[in-house]
Amino acid sequence: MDNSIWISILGFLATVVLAFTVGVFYGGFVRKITARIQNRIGPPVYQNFFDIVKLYSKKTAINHGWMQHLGPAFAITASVTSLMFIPVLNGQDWIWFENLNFKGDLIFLLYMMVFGSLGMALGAGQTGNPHSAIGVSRGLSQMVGYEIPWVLALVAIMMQAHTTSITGLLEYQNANGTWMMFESPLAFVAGLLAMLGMFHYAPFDVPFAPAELASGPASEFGGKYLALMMTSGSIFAFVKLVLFVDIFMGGASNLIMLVVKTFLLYMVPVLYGIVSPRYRTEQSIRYFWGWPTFIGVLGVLYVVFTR
Amino acid sequence: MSYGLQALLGVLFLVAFGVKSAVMPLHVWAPRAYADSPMSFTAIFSGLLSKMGVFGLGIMLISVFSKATNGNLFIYSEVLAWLGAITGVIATFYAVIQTDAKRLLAYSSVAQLGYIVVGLAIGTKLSVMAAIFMAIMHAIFKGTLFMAVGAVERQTGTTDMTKLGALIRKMPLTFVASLMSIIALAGIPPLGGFIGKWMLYESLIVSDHYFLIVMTFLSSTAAFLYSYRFLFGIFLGQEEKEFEDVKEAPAIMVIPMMLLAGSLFFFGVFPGYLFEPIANGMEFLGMGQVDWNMTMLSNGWGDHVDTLSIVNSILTIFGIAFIFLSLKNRKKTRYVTTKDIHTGGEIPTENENLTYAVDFYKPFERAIEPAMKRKMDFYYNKFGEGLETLFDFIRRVYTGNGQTYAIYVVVFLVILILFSKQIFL
Amino acid sequence: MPNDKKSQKIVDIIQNAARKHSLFVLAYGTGCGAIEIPPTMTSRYDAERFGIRGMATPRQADVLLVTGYLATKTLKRVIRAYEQMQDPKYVIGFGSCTINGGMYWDSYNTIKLLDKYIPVDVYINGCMPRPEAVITGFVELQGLIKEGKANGAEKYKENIDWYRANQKKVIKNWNMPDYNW
Repeated sequence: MDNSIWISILGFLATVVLAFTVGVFYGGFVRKITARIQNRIGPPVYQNFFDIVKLYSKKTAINHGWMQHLGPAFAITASVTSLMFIPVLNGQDWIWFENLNFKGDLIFLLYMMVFGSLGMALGAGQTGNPHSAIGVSRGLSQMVGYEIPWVLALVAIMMQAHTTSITGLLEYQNANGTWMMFESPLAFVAGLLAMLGMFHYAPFDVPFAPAELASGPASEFGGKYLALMMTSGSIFAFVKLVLFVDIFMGGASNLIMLVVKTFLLYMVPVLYGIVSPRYRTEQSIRYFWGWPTFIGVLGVLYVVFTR
Repeated sequence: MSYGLQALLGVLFLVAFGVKSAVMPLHVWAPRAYADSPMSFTAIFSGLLSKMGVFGLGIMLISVFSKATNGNLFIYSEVLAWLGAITGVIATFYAVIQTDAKRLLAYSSVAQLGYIVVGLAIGTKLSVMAAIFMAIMHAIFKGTLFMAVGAVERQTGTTDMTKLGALIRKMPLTFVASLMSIIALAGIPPLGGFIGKWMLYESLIVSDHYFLIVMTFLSSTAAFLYSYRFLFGIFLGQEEKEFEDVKEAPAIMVIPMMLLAGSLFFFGVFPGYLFEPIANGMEFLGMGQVDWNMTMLSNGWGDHVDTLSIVNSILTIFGIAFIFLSLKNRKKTRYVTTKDIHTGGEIPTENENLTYAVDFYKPFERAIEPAMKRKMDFYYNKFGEGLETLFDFIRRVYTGNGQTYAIYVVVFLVILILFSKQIFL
Repeated sequence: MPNDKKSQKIVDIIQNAARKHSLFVLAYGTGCGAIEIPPTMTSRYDAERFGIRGMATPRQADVLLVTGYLATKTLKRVIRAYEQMQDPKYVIGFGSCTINGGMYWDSYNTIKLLDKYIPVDVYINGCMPRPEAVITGFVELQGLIKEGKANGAEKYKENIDWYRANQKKVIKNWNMPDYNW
């Protein structure tokens, strides 16, 4: 009994360290790729580590009240809790990464991913900066936009696989031998277009682009708060990627395949974002309620009529 | 009893209970009634009295129509479910564009009742349990929210969100209670609202109502918008000069709010305490054996969610993050007021207002404009005008003139005599 | 404090290495020298390979670039932005105007030596300095950080009265809050 508790705690730490490392490296890779596309050299790929360590080692900190103090705590709670409930690896022998996979399902994850944004928004609200409030209102309005095709895609695959938990979806893909990407391609396309909105790269980065507002919700966070927010952001990017890979691309059975699949998937929003301008908020909402929703509806009808 | 008669009885009963539970298009009385009553009454009104309509709907749908001649379900239950979903969506959109806190909560009550009607109309065991659980949770958190608004109104004299701001330092306990209620309203784990919403979504997926789930989800996501507006407009944001010396509400107002908010947390961890009486009630009404678990939610396909592990992980990680944030550089962390913000190096003077409160969701309003062009009142007014035209026509026959009526009587007598004498046979 | 390498602990070495390799510059162009910042940051003279990137608010930034002349009106806002930044923070004086008044040496409205009002760590000479000179200035700042000598913020805290006296002599409508940390 004692042994299994220690193993589970070590597994939890191993998963968090893996998520943090991979997330931070992906941030560095994105900066390097952006730089190369813009014909310059760019920072080294481990640059984000330096950023986070420097922010942790700031000597003073300023806050506007206890709600702003708690904001980054909400954000990192949401990221790490979502990480615990997703199966990171698919096989049977990886006891280090098993965590709480069997105890939650997709609908729980949908709501858990919003918990962090709500906490951050409340923290940004207490600072009293009007830039933060404008950024939060734009971000929440965009969220209404991209959740609709995302939910349509999820409903299509949940009905096809007759399960709502992620481990159930992984088992379904293993049992049938194909990836969900090829079994319901319309749902995959709708989910991919919704994922462009979830990552908040261009053209959907109007909540916090520095040319629009002065950093949006993160305007008044500095020092240890900003460091915790960047940590939580890196872990959260990894969580979203692994969730998508598990649902649509059959999961990964060892770490190398996981890194390869998530990296290939990450390149879609990043490369599309580097070359895109920015949508206004109502343009992005109307975009998401246009073609991606239509494709999602077709995906659901496809599942209904071919079952 | 014949089939058509059953359907007619059902429709009449459902219209009656639908008015009470504010289903579209019968909801036009609800927003102003909730908003313009005194707050201490509205807490009970929205919490308890609106559930009378739900209670009536539940009894009609579950126990009366299950004995109907067409299987177990009332044939119009799909229509009722769609009406409930549309109520949820449109009422949420109306709530997003309000500027008065009371009116916002009123539209939000209408939207939550829409979810409950969807759950009842679908009719499976999981969905009825979800609907009743959501009804109880709605009573708790909406009562707390109306009480909080009442406390704010008593202390400051206004509930207009474009005028209020930054009451968090002056009324912290009210803020904590309304924060927990808003988290439960949005349906975020680990509080109780998540459990009701989880069961509702699962029941919709298991019973193949795929487009209803999209409408419910749209309404639930748009609920985040007005939840944030409520908290930001009253408690967060820039400090206002005229609310400098506002004090916390008296203890007799704060203690019930904190108790109810604590009970939300308790029911989020141990929902089984509410599942037991609900399951007994459903068996009594005739739905058959219903099984439940103290801390684990499950749907018909074998997927389950364990509330204890959710709460444990959330509390552990939140505790670690909070301790880390508080202990690092403890002596060098300072508090600054909301006037010391990044304004490009300027120092805002006393009468400069940096609040962002008016037209908070203008981009969203522009995006949903096609759906909000006409209010329901417009159609009721058109119907009333049509009836008045009809009555104008009838007034040409019933002129109110005594001599015209005398001629009518004589003509009628002549026709009767001619018929009886068999001249026109 | 002792500044040589032998008595610095390993934690300081790691922290200074992190601070050296990631400098967040406040995107604030105070004078005409700011026209040399975009070429430095963009493709030809890429400054991001040193870890330098622009940030929008003083709460998030480390380095304040005072680019060029400072009228007394601008000086008040620069002081406010400097005091909103969090420790450890560095100031780079850019151009000849911060060293001896430069082109505006006989003007009634500009300041002549920046170090009297805000503690400066590195001066970059020129009118305007080319991007190669800007990058040399940043590399020099990185060297000072590595040795632990870039502590203008502590100098400001210790000699706050002297700095305040100089500032109040030049700025006539003083309504800034007191520096109490």
